[in-house]
Amino acid sequence: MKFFSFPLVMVAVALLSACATQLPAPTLTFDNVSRLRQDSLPALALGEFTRGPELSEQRDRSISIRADSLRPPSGGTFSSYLRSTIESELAGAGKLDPASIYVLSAQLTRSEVSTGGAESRAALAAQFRLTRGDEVVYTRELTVTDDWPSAFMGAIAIPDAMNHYTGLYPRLFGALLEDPEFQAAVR
Amino acid sequence: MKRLVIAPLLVAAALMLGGCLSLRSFVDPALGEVPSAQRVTVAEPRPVQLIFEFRTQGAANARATEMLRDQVTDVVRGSGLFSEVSTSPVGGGALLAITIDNIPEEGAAQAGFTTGLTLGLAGSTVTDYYVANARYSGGSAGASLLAEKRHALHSQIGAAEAPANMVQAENPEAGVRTVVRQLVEHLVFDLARQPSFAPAPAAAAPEGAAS
Repeated sequence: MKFFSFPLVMVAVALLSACATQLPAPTLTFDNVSRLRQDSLPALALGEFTRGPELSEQRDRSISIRADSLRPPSGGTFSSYLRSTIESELAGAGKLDPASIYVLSAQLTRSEVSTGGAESRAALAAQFRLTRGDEVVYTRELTVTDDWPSAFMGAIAIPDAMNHYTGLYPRLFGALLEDPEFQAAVR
Repeated sequence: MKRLVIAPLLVAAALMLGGCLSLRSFVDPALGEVPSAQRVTVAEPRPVQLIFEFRTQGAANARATEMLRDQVTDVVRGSGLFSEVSTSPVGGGALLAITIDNIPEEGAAQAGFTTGLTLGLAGSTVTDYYVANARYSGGSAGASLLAEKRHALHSQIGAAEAPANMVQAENPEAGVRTVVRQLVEHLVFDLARQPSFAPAPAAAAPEGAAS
């Protein structure tokens, strides 16, 4: 009996009031870790990850998904969440070195989720910058998007949208690793 | 819990009528436990880096991953196939990636309307499917080893006969955790039975070992 009432309450809450969901810490992805292990990529240090001028401070701290809002862990920002994602992947592949001569930094320029209609869409973009010593060897804005069919019921659509949006963070890092210009810059 | 099973949530959302309806979960018996004879041992277990990801309809589900990661790690460690299981790179470079994708039965929401309109007299049975994949790289050059297993968790709401040959789980989360444990055990022992899993030949475990 109680297991029926619990999801029902969750549904009612999702439909009738605004909620805030906090993202957990980023997890490793096989695709990026195996890519990092195979590449001749040198170990990287991480620099500043901030929001770009295109992204409001509020959008860097919270994103609305229907009646819910998604927030980064520990009251942080989505730009710092991007940093944590990359840090986690690099560490998981043994390619994180705070003393490296290569320093990767980024500005988060786009962070969007749309779940209004039958189709949902999320987008994430960042302006990446790689320096080698004092020299900027790579700078480029990369964007990743995701589209998926949206459920009518918020109880299904909201967590689904959160999953798709969160999944863009490792995909954005994957896009960087796959960029031939980035690969050339670190060789 | 709602992050680990979807189909009953679809039903519950479709009902929206309240009332005294219970949710009962049943682990599908088709996969079952790994037979003793298939629980191989390796002569020289090596360390492995484990990457686990839980997905919901193909999309990475970070919260469910976090919820299940420790259990999956414990199951891999408990297999005895590895000397160490770590999220960090390990000596030798072995990497094991396990992915479990939760796919709800189509039409689960519609089933809920029927149950709701009859105040539970016409019960609904819906199924969450779980597709699990494992990829193992021993760290040296050569192809990765692959394994795939499928499982299911059946959930009932309202008045319905219990599925034949199935034992009711203590609660939905216990049902999911049984599904995950059985999937992961099958995956790692499937990998371990492949000839190139370990440099030393695998040997069958003594009769009556873990079951």
